[in-house]
Amino acid sequence: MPQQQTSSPDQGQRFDWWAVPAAATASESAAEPLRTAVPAQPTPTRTAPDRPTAVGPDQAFVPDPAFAPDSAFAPDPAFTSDPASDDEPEPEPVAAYEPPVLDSTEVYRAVQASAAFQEIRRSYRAFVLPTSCAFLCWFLVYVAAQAAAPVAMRSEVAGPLNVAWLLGLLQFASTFLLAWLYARNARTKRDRAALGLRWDTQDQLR
Amino acid sequence: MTTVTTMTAVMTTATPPPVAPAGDHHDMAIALFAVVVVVTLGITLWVGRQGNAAEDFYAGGRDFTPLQNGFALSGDYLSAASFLGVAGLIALYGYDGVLYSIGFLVAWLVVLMLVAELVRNAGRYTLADVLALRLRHRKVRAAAGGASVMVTLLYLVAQMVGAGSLVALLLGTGSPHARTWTIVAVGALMIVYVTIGGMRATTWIQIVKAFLLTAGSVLLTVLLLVRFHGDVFELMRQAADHSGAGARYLEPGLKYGATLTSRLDFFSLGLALVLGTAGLPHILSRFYTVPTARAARRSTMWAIGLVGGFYLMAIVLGLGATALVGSAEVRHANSAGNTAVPLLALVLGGGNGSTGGAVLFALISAIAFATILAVVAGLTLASSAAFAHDIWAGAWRGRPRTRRGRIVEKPSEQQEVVVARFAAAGIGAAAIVISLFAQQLNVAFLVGLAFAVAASSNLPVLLYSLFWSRFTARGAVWSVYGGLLPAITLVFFSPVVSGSKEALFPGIDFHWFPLENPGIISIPLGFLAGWIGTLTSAEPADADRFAELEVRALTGAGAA
Repeated sequence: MPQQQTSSPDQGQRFDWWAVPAAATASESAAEPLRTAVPAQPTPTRTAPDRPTAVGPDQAFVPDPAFAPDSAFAPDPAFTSDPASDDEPEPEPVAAYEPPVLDSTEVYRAVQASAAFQEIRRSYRAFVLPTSCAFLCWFLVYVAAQAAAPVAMRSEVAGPLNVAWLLGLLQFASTFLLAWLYARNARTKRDRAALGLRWDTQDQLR
Repeated sequence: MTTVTTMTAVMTTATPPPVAPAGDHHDMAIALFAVVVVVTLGITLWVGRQGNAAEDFYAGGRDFTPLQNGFALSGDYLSAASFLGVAGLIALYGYDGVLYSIGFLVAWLVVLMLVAELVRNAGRYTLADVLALRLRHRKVRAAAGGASVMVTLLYLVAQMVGAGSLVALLLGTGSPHARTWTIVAVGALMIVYVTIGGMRATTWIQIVKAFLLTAGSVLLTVLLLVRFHGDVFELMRQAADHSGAGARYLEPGLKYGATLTSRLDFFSLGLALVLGTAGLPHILSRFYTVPTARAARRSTMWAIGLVGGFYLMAIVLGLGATALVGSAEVRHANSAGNTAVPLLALVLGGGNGSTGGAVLFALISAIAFATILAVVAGLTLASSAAFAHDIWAGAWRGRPRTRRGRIVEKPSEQQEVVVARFAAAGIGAAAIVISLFAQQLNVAFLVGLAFAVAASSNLPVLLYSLFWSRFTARGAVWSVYGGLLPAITLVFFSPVVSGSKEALFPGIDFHWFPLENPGIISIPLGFLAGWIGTLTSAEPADADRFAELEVRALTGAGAA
């Protein structure tokens, strides 16, 4: 089996590769018993386009002795014996390409190591982890304050509104605000990059 | 000490349903109940024919829009306990009812930020799918599937027992037969919805229900605010005047401030609510009904808007019930305050005996009924999916003949769906039987317990799997059981089961755990067990699998 991907699409084309397995999944779900228990096969098709960014140009295909090309591309009985029955049968778009022969593990490791992915993960975690800690603490402090500082909670703010009501309404406000901030952050910082790695075409296909 | 119980409990009180004002509005309510049943059955039969694949049954074909799924999420989440119970609590206990409602909303931030998108990308049908992506071990699937069935069953029984007394209340009958038949009828309907319609019908029922619920709440809120000329402060003042508690009505402590134990209990409940929502199987499986992770995020945003808006309206309605009906009368009609909103509707429509009042009362009662039906259907579906997909096909029939982690000769998805339909019928039947036996018992604590179990067993394993690279299969199994068993054990030895006069078994006393909600202990234990299990694992974490999970979860690569 040739390493068909080496010469195939570069940056601009890469998203189409991602769309293929998704389309297959959508239409062929019944034929694919348990996707999660099966190393995804179609996805390897996109290795090549992704590889260069992943581990650097030089290492594109032999990044690590453990992933020697032979072991990676040699037909593995478990995978090649029934390429189309157990796993997703490839629909016509895939037929245009060679059947996937890369080991999916290798692909995921490479993508994981890629700068693009690292940046997505960093921006996701950098927003989500501190924010989650903050709102959980803010909520627990609010609940605990009812017991810890009942007098302060009773002091009046405006009309019948006291501190306790104000903090309660602030919980509503902060929840809405954080949800909006998260969505905005994901939209502006992460979505495009993640789309770059996969999704755009799939969205349009649906 | 009984505080948390009654509040979680919302609708289940062992007290006999009081005599609600009899008359036209109950007849009209019965008619509208029938309309609800006919419409939901129609939806089921109509949508149920659109597909029979596993993707249709478990995930509704994955083609719902974010707006639709947002409504469905809020429909799944806002049980009758929320609709009638939270407003009733506010009507009776003022600010402390508000305090109770906030945990339900804040919980959605956990869902939004840590769970929704990643679960959508990494899983197919259930929570265990996400774990199985990196921990391909049948024990993990069995543990997670079992915990999911447990959580949904606890919640289901609480809902159905509540439904029995609630419907009897709304129909103005105190007869035990009415309750029994309500439970049987609700159970039979939910089985029909799920077995015939699967996720697609269930989702549409949720959407219709959430729309009705929102519309009904908006209608009542507008009528109420018009009556008060938009002056919320005046509403609060009048509510305090008619609450029988005066200024204390608007201050914390009317319900949860009695003793240190009850405060700690409330803290425990708050923790369980905030962390449990993200582990509820019927909420998680909703994210599979949309095509992408972005759609999952957007639907969560809609759900946050709808749930938040709903609770804000519930506060206004609770205050309104106190101001216009009065706490004493609300309590007289039902000691847990469940009829506060229907009674308020009666007053807003023109009072007892008026046509407007009768129509509004019947309308609100019918919405509450639709709420019950929709929530139990969602729970039954999630439960049957966990059983068929995780326990049966994943753990039991997922033959151990693995090659490079690949499981061979598993049952087909078609077989799996057949099993899931039977499982829905079986679980539904079990829930009916348990609920019939439990209907005279005070099972109110089950809602809080379901959240506590979800937070102690489902959430730790989910977060560890998604975020911790060194997490192992052993850690996963430990974390599920390490949260589940303490939660159940602690509740068994708590005052809700024995040793208090509102306990499950009031006659005997073997309790030693002082709190009614185990969350404050069992949630940390779940996380701790997962951590220790991982550290003591003989086999190291599989970095390849984690890479796959991480890449798929964050980018959506290969998502179903």
